[in-house]
Amino acid sequence: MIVLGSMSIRQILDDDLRSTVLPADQLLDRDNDEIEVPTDSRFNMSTRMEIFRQRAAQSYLDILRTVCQNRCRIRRTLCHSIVDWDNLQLDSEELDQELRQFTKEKPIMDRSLSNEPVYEFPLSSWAYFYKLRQMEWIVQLGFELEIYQHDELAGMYWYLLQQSKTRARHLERMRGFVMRKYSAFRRSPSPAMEKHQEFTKSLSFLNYSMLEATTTYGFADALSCLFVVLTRLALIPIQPRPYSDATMRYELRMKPFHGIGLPELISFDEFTRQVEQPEEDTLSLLSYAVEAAAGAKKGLEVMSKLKAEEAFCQGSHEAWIKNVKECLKACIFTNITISTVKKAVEGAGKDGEVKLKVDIPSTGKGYHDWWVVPKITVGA
Amino acid sequence: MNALRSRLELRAVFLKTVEVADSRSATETKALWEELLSFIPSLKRTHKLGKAVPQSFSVKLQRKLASTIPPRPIVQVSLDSAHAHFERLCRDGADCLQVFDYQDSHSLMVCCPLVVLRIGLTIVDFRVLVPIKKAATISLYSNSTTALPIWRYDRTR
Repeated sequence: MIVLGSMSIRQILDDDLRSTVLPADQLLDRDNDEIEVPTDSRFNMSTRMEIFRQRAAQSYLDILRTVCQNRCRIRRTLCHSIVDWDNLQLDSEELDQELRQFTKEKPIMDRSLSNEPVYEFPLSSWAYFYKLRQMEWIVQLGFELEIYQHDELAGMYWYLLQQSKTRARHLERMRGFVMRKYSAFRRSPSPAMEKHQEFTKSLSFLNYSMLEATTTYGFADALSCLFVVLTRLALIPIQPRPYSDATMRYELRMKPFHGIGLPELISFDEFTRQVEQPEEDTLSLLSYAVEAAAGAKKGLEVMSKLKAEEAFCQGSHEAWIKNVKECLKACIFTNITISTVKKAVEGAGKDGEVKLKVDIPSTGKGYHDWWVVPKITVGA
Repeated sequence: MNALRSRLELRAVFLKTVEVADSRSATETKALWEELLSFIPSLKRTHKLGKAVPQSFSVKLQRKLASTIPPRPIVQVSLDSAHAHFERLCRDGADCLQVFDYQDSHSLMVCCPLVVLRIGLTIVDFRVLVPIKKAATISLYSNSTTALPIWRYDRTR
């Protein structure tokens, strides 16, 4: 398979694997292909990696093809793509288990983590990472395409927060394993320079991705809390819906994620409870939103100062910076909005009426289409 | 005289560009798109020397170019917007090629949607497809709605 005119899909896939889960790893060693002795572990590693590549190449190329289409079609295609990646994750888990006997992987034995030995599962980790990213994009494109109604924004931002938190945790796991391999590599008698560079690149990517994931979940958290507060204050107009109820709407919104095994979809009641947070009072929700938005703002400021190599956007750095700066503007605006609402709520007192007017901008009118920040004006 | 010559040169360069536009290994593609861009100022300047010949384009010709059913009426495009379309086509053609400048897999995944977003999907539409050898799908094609007879209509979106 020739990609971009001169590269093989193997080069791109190996590049991707190398910079995420398998830096300087024997599984990606091209010399393994030369071995023909069937009992040799390198031969077995090479054949299984080839099986993996054949399975994963199509799915990987599909993502690249998908992101070149129009926005609606990207979202629709991603909904099918995540099911494919879910299956790829399952198949990769089996391959990981088979490969273990040839790589002689030593598991982590840490009682604080788990009673069972913890194995890396690099290939399925990689598949899981891409699956989570695509799930996040589906929700974010939903905001851009105005799929979610105004009163559903709180719930969907909460769901985005969960997805990005899961991705951040998964990235931490991946980084833990890479760090472990790196420490072992540094202790080895003659560490090669290029292997050292592969580790650095991988850690750089994982760190950058974690920054991006935590920023996303901070921002989503702030917006979710803000929308919950506005709903509590009855400031978001709800359309009359005589033919549906909240359960049906939840099923509809979560339809793309229904078929995914991991992360599992929670029930509607659990979802409602988590989103509305009935045990928290309005002011503490708003204080929490302020903190989350401040954290997201810091993250975005760091991202806006990254160079192209650090942010892994070489070839499109200006466009990427512009995107980040728009997110930052949206975040700053969110901060201002939350403070305005907080002041109004404090001013109204315990039973007073909060006189605010909420205007939710449509796509193209806000700072960034993925972050729907309501405009608040004081006065009824 | 010069106006005619520059238009003939433009057509020659355009044909050369279209020939290599599909190729992923040609290095001169970007330079060709930029050369096309350089013709535009003289095109605009010398336009008033020409005389309009409406018989040169007909509904039959339009139907051959635009294979839609029912057949489209002739698209009337003002001269300024026609020049703007052409300029945009050449600029986007050159910009698209940066996707082929491979640095790492993550940059590629970030670059593709950003390039497509910048070029936009409204009037002039470049779709960059990562080709598979067997299918030999074209790497970029233009989907223009201008009526200038030198464009190829390709409504396979």
